[in-house]
Amino acid sequence: MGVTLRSKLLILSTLGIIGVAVFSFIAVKAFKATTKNSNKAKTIAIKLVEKPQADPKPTIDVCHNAYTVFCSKKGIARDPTGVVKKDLLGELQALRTYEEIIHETPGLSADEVDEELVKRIYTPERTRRIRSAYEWARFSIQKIINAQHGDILSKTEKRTLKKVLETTPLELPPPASVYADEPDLLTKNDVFYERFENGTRRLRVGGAYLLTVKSWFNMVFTLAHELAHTIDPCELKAQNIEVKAYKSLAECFIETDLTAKPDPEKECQENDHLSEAFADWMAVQVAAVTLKKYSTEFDRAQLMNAAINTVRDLCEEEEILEFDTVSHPSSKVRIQNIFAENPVVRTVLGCSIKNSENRYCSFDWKGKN
Amino acid sequence: MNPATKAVALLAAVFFTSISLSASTGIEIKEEKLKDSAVDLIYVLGNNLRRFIAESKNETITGRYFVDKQLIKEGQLDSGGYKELVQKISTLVTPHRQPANDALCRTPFKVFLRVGNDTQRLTGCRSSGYGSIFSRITRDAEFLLYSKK
Repeated sequence: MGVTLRSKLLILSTLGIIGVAVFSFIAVKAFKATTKNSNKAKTIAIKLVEKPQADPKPTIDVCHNAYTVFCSKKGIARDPTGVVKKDLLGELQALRTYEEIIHETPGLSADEVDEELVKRIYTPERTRRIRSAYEWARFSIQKIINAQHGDILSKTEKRTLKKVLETTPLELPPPASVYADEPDLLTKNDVFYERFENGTRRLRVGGAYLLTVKSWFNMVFTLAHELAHTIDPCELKAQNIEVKAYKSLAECFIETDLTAKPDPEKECQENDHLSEAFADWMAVQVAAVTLKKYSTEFDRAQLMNAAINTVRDLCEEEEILEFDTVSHPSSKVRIQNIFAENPVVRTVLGCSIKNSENRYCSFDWKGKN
Repeated sequence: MNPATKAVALLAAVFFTSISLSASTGIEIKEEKLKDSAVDLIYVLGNNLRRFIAESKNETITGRYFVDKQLIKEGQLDSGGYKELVQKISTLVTPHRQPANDALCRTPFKVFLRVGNDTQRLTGCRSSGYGSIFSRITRDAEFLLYSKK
């Protein structure tokens, strides 16, 4: 009996050990399976989330997402007046020409090379188009100023703004000596405005820009943007010129998220986008009138390419960390909010203006409705 | 012209001549010291950051030009041209020059010149102060880089 009982106990404990082992095995298996399944579930979930990104064909339309439509377009957009190439391509072409001249005629001085470069880049046809875009941009900005009601811009303010515009000449070679104090511009892609300590102003166009941009619409927008800088709030503030309407315009930029509210001490300094937002906003109005002018001549595809070319170079986001001068709003804000929300641009593109009319900034902006 | 006006004009002429002479002469850098030296020109124009770097090391002078950190051109530089370039840059970065006020500057630049262990630097704006001198220096740097076969 005693033996039997001991045997029974032994059998029972053996069975118990086996039971625990089997239970542990099953438990581990079950845990592994659960983990595997949850990973699998995670993978599926990721796939579900990723899928729409990988296949973006669906419903992006220019009326709601102009930034994506304009900036994701592969290759160049050709409007009836020409194309806009990538910034760097024009510069490389200018530098290749520069190199060719140096090696074709060894012994030329840097100034002589510049003179030959100007002959090849600043051709009469190219400079004629740039001058014409400058005249059109200046005329259009003056017209926008004139169109404001006397309560918004006084006669004196209008006169001041127009005088600033009139006293900002476009300086273009030839001869190369026109840029003798900035000869490196001849191979650069930049169009820019400068004001000097003695009060003189000027607009200059780098040689590579003439090779990069053939589209009339981009020329008009670019020159209008630079001309607008001559009368932007920060430029005028630096010259102690006050324009009352600029206050509500700046408030509108903040309210509609075009610019952030600046620290009062840092207004118009590093990272304040007011100056650039103003220049974009003014240039968009000029570009909008230009697009509208051609809207009856061009078909829909041509008009779309003209709109893309107007702001195509803004897709290339600037990132100049070395100087902490991130002065432009982001590309998305510039294209989506400043350009594509303009009611005239929207009309030209066949988009509804129901919401944009009240939200888009103007000199007489009274607040968000 | 009365004598007092003449004297003022003469003094002004002497003053401006001495300024232009000191600006064009700069500090004479000995050939030996140039063997371990470097030049770094960083500047913004429009939306692009540009950089020209030249370095003299182990009897070789190399130049590189970048636009937005993308290498555009790299090559060896002529030693005579490099010496002239360093000389011009030294006139720009001599210690007596004050940095320009670039609070509203959209076209800033930085210049670094290292000769041996001595580094000099200058920050400025193209539309004020030394912008024009800087522009001519960058053109000369490009010419140097593209003229060597």
